Amino acid sequence: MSRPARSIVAFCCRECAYAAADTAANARTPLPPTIRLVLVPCTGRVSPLHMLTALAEGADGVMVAGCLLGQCHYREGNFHAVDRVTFAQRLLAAVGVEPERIRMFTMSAGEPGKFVAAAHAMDRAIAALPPLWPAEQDGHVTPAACLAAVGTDEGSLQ
Amino acid sequence: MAVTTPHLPRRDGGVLLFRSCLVSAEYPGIEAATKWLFDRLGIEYIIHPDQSCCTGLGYYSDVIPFPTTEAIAARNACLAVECDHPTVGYLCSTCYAVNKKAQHTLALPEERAKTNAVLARIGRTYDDRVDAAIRHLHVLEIMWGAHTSLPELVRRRLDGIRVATHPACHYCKVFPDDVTGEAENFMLPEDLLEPAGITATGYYNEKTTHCGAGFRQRFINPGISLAVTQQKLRRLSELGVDVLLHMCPNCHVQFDRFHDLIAARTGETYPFVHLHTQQLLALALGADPDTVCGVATHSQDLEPFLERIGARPRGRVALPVSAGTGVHATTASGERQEGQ
Amino acid sequence: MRAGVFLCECGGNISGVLDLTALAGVARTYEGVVTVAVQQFLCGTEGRATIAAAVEERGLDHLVIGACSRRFQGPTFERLARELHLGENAVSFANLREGCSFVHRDDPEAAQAKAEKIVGAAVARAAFQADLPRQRTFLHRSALIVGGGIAGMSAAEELAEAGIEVHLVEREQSLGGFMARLAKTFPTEDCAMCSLAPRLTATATDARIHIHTLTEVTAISGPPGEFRVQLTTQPRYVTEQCVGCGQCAAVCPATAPSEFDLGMDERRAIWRPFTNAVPATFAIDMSLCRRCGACQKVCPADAIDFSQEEVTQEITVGAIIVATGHREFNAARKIPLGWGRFANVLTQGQLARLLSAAGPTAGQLRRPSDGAPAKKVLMLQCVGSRDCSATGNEHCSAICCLFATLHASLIKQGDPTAEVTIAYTDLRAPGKAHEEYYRLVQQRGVHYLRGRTGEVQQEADGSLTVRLEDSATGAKVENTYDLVVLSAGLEASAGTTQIARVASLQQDRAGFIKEFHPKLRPVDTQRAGIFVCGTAQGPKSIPDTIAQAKAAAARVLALLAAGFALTSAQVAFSDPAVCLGCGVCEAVCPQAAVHLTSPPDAHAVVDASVCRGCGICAAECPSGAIQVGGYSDAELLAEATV
Repeated sequence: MSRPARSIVAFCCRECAYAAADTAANARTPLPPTIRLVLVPCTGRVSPLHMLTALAEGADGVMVAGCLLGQCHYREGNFHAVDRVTFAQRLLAAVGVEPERIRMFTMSAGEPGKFVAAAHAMDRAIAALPPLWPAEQDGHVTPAACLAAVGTDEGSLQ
Repeated sequence: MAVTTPHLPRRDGGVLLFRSCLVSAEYPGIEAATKWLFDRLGIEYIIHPDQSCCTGLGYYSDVIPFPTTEAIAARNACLAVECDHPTVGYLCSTCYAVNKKAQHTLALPEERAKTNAVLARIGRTYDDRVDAAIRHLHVLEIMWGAHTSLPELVRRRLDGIRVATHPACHYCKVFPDDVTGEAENFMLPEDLLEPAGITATGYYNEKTTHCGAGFRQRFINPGISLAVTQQKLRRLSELGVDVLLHMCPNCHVQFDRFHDLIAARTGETYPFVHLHTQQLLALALGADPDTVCGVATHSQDLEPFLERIGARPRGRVALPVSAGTGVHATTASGERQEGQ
Repeated sequence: MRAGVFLCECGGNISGVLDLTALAGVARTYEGVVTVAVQQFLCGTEGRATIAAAVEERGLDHLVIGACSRRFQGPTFERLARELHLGENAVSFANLREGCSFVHRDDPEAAQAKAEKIVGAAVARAAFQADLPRQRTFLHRSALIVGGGIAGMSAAEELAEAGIEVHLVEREQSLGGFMARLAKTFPTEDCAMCSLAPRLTATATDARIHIHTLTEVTAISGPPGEFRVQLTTQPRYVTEQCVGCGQCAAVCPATAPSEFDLGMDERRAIWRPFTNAVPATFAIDMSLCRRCGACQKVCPADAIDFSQEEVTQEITVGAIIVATGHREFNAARKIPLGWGRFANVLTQGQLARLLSAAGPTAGQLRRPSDGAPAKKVLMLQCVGSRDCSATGNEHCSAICCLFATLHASLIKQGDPTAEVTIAYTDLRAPGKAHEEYYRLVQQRGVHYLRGRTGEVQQEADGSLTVRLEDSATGAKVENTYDLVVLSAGLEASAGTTQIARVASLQQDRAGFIKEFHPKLRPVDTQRAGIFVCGTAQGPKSIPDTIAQAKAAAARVLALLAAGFALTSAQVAFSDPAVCLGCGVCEAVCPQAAVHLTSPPDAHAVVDASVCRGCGICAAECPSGAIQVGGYSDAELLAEATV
């Protein structure tokens, strides 16, 4: 692999996105290995806390994948997710981090192609950005070091 | 009749009016009427002086090989993007289809590489930027984006005229998913005439049947070619239409040049004439039949029709059909008028 | 935590890409992992035995399953954990198959590295997975069936026989559905009404089946076992005193095309769709009624009542079956084929009315334009089906080939000199005895031609000219026919779309109700306690419809058999010690499952039987007091930050 490995966490709703991912996988569709799925019942469960903590703990990008707007299995969950993703993006921009590191995608369980496209798009976009955390060398800081500097330790990040 | 064509966003500025060999050679009035309408609808356009013939006629007649047509299409696309008018408006449905087809094949890496090797000789490249910018539309689609301006521009009432339209195969059937409206029941020309106060017949027997031209079929299999044309003429005369409107000069040639011949050979009568949609629309908006619509180049005698719609006011001198007098006309008062 | 990690080879699906031995070695080093095992098929009996033995011998309190997607076999391992008394939330899942081996076959090195992370995430998560409380809910031994056609009635029969109270809801004024319109059924050529009438009678006389016609379901709330359903019934304007004599219809001055006859006949404002209608009572279409009172004057039973009004009632049922059927594709969308423009172009449904002995022409095949006998008939297949254009549906409608074959056969039997041609794309006869029937009908002289047409043309006398290519010979075939019958396919009915909206059910591209899983749960929907059967789920024949209806009934019986159920573990729970009482959770809950108690000390309380575990509240909660069982912040963060 010619480029440094990136890490992308994908919060996928069980009803649509995770189902689409499973269907794409069953067809043996190749996907970028940078993406790791985390199952949530609904994207409405995902808050900026989860998105930002994932980034703070080493991920270079976060995907939030859910049902098509208007077709959320729990009626409104994905609308909340859209709002929260936007909010998290603004927070990132405010601290000088590329807001496109967090992105929301929508699809139905019957659209595995959309999941595949989303995975590739996210993988390409994150690959084009520098790694979020520089490697631990030459005195560069690590996430743990940053947290220690502001007087917070990992244990209280619950 | 209810308008069924979906709304299209207005598209002015950045329109390149693509000249057609058949239009220029056979019915230059189609181009003149289109430009006249564009001006009145406020649609900005240019004509590129270096645009070449799309070679569609040659390609579909199996005379010009596709790599040639493809390279020419790529060149014309580059020209459109270079002059910042990437929305190409086609007067001819054959040009429309062949340029769209080239865009599809140029998406394949091998085809693009091959074509660019040729274009390199003229210092051009068909790249992703050109491909993303270029848009292929029929001029009727461009006018449809501005159709709400039509009612206030109408100068001649044509409500008594029964109009049918002939959907061009190369617009409707080659890329049916890109049709503005329904490919199997193409209503855009009818819907364009509606705000100009012209009622259309809608669907009729044989509407989706082709004109019979078949490009070179007209020459190598004239029997079959004209038999199909005859079938359409017959069904349309059962319907009692006054005019059949076209959106491709190939169809227009097939019908206008052979209508009277077929009638003479079969002894049947088909009491209607052929015009392009833009020609009728321009007439409704008050255009001059000679200097704008170029009726002189038609084989059929259009005078009775023109008189009926009041486009030949009493005392006006009409151009004789075979005069070949160019684009100048003489008004009733003897003034010479420049054509457009 | 004492966790056991179990890695499944999945018969090569996983072990073919991942080095499970190496992965096991890495997993052993993860904190909290006590034992690691590799198994060929973890979900099989040997796999279960391995896990059970490990739990026993190593004192495990958590299982980490490294296998296929938890959406696939999750319930299998959750059930195993319950059986091993480990608790509801004792299993975490590492998706090594769909999440890794299937999609990274071309990069085993990257797959291996990712697999280590996936397992690590599942282990990290497990440390925070606490046992979850569950509540008991009462299961009402009753069911709602939406749709009174053959599917709904077949399901009702099963449930009533098992002692379940059934509420059968039908939006039309009579039970019967589409089957009531048919002349005969394939492949046996049984009279449709003869098969249906006994079912109608049985349904009408069964004390356990409560029939609600002219009724729609307008709201559904509550959990499986205790669905609260709102039914809205339109007024019939005719009371139960009606004896069905029909004298009212004879004097009614207002007419309209009959919906039951698909426009092939007229009806009056006061009408009954067919003789065996259930209920037998007439009904008045008030939008057509002129309020002249003629019906009231002649009614011998004094059954007309113009004062009736719309009635809304609420019932509680334990389970719901959706059996809302289908409708014929609207052939007017295929403008070149002339349906709706030409009088002698019909659909198969309309032809069924003409061929029906109880239909508008008493089974005589006549041209609608002039009543002349129809001697030359052409049937066009695949109208609106197998059609990728914007005006058609992509799916095959499954029954049209046989439907046309049936009608062609009936026409030939009614008039052996009639010429019937079926222009088909593929002749599909997959069901039992269908192929044999197709051959038989060919022998009866029906002509099958493989070809399609672009257009139907009408001549001055109403007959129809059609040009086809016979693709077997390449010859152009142009003929004029008395009747052209379009085999317009099946699509989702308006009732299906309506119930899907009310019940939040997923529909597929064509509008049919989406089954939960075509193999694992073919008659379940995504909503627990709501099932689907018949053509509401997709195009199918009558035997298949009835079989599916019985399957849905079996699912309802399985659900209600225990009498009570435990609430899902995956519901929200609020810790009163942490809760600030801000009320944001109550405001955002789409199920209205969270409520604040009264001040002082107001705090959120979740109704576990209503909560569906989406987690919107938990994401909004500023203090982290409200969490979702199995998806707490601790669990999710542990999994996401490995």
